[in-house]
Amino acid sequence: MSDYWRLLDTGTQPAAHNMALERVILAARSRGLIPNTLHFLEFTPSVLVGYHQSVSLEVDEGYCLRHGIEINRRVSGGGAIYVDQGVLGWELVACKDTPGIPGRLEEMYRLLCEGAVAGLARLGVAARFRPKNDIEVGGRKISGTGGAEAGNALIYHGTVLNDFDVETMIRCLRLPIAKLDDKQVQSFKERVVSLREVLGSLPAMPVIKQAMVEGFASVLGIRLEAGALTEQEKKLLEQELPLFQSDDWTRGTRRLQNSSLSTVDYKTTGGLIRVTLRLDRTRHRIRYAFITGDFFAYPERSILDLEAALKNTSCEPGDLLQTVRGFFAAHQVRIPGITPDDFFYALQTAIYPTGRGREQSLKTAESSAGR
Amino acid sequence: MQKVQESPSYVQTSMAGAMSLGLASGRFLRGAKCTCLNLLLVYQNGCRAACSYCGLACNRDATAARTFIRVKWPTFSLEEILGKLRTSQHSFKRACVSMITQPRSVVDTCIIIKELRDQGTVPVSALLTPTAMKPGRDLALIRAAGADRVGIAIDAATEKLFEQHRGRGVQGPHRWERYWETVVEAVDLFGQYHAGVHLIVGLGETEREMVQAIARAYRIGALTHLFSFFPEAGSRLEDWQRPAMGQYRRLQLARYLIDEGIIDEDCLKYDAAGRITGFGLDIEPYVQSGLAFMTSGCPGEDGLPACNRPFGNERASEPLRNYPFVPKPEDVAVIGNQIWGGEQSHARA
Amino acid sequence: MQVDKRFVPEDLRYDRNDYWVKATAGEAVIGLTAYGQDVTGDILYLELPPAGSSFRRGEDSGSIESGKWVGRLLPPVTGMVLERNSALETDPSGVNQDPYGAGWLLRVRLADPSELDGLLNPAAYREWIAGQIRREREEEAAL
Repeated sequence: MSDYWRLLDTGTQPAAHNMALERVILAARSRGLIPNTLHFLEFTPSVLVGYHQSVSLEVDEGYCLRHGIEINRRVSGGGAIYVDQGVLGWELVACKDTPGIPGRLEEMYRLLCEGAVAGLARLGVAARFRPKNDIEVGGRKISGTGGAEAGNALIYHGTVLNDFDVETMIRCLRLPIAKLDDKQVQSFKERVVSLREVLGSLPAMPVIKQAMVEGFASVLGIRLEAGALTEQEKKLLEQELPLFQSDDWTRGTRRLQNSSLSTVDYKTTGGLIRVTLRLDRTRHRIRYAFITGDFFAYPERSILDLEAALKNTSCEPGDLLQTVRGFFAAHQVRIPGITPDDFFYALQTAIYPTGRGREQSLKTAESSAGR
Repeated sequence: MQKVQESPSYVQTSMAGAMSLGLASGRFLRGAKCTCLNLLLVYQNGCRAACSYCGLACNRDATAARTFIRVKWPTFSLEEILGKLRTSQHSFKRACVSMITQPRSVVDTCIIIKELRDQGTVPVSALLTPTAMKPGRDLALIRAAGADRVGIAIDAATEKLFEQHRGRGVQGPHRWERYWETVVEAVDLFGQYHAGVHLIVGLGETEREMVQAIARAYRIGALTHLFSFFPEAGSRLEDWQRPAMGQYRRLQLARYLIDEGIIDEDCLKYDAAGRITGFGLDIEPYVQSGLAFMTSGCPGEDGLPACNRPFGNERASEPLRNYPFVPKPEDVAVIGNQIWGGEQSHARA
Repeated sequence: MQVDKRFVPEDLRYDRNDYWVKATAGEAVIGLTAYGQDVTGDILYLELPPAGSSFRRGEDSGSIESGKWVGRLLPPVTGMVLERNSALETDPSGVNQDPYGAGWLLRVRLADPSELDGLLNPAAYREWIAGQIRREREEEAAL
């Protein structure tokens, strides 16, 4: 691949502007009006929900309103995120049949995340791709990613957490932290990491951007040429912006959701396991799990990896047992006094708070997993 | 005194194999990989047979450089090759040991197969020369040595052409029926579709005759691996033309459809000269997928063809006959135009 | 996943976006094939066009989310929605578990029945899948 990609930097913009821009660049690429593009974007304080998410379920709208935090919605999937000046957004917009970009999603994620990983490496950060779509440092997430398509173009984007305002994030998103006690907040902070924390100080934004450019260029084998929005893109943006500034876009999803948050404490000989789950009961899925407690896991990061492995998985007993057992079989984890099945029982207790439901599910789990 | 480099201590490998082992320099164009290590037995006296199209024939012009299937096959010690297999990052999914017509062939083939299997990494095929084998017994030895598949290079599609190019016509030792008997034995011993037949398009057969040979093999339980005739320097046929591209493409399609069980030979239609005019179904999906035009050969453990003989029929700069990778959309477009191309196929007496 | 990704029923027609069509007298039921749901992955959210809406073949008519990816629903024919499988909008896992049965997506009135002639028959679709799988494996091996 010796083609030139456009390097586009639109700087700091309000959320609606940035979200509209994503759709515009994607449409422009699909129509062949622009070359493949690496786009940098920055944000004023905003919350961005995933394409299919419901603002009322995911966002503390009152808090956002009181603190001037803009709310908007992405073209890509995934969960709600908080972004501000401490975050660098990067996105790759390309033709689906660009040589070198795999067709299968898992492989595409891997390749493009490796580009971001290479960029972070140039800053001295030992980041790694964690399937399905995280970038982590020592098990802690430094970038989330997601994507979408339109016509024959695709967009794959992510954020780099340069500097992290965890308190604001916890307050504006409805997170699986039932009580905002210090211990919980601390545990939550351990799941995410910023560049500043990893490096001890924060490099200037131009330095970060340059590193990311080099990372993508080397992994994708491309060359980048700085460019600007074309006249056609500007015109499209003018047309799209009103929609992205309206509730029709931001709150337009008619999702039927039966979502619940539940926390349980489960005692084992090795210590207490506290599980907080966000469940989507209608889809029988664990949206995310937050696992803490007073046990000792070696290596410590394995609990974070377990949480990543549980994300969006089925909460049917047989599937859950398989997910948990499969995780421990594939990872070298040692937790004195606690077995993999203990985690399964702890999760089950959170999914079925009443005793009867729990007994039923334990039996079914064993029989369906034993097959 | 120079040491005589003979099997089993020494073997020849294809240039593609040598490159992939890191024993020869060079790169494959278009990102192709050589996924089967093809080894050839080597003896000071060479091959005792006299096949008209082969660069190893004993009666070839010795002043011409010796090539086999278009390229040179460098010689290495078996130790060196085994060492490379152990230590280097290679792309091989299979290895194949090819016999030539020599009395020690069977024993040496068994030794080499066993050495390869003791390494443990890839499955091993044997390419057989029935003329050098005792019926029944030798096949069993080859199986016991660890081969899981065998190929029989029948090469010519009809008995008449076989005699002409390999048998009495060139005072050669090979006999048509003996070759087909070996195919039947091989299927019995190695299992359904674990035996393969090599056929070369362009030795003077009509397309109908080639289809009949492919169908005969399939009925017995063997798959066909097609080659496009290439005039080897120094061989009797060095001045012959290659078969027309259209002829080759039609036969690749026919082979694919028959070996995949999609059609049988009765579905095909021919003109008076024995050229295929129809396949009995819409071939468009099969042209689009491009799979029919890939090299067919023994598979690796994953079930996908491993013997892909990259650029074995032509240079990468020339139109590819057997694709060693899935044809890209631009390749499919080219292939589509070649199938009913204006070139005429040759039917020689 | 319950169903083999290569399974291709004989009584349906297909397109290269991995949709199946079952047509009877001016109407059709549309769904995603076993291979299509395998390529897509576990579907988390699905947005289908509502009854009464019109759509054109190959035109963006809805969304399918899986693994943080939002893909577009591109119908294999042109027509009007008579009924959408609204159960899927609350629980899309039916598409993965039973793509040819309970996981059907839309029941539609065909605007142009001649479009059916352009669809692939089972053998042709099977060949399409074979080619795609080979390409995927080559891509994997290259990484």
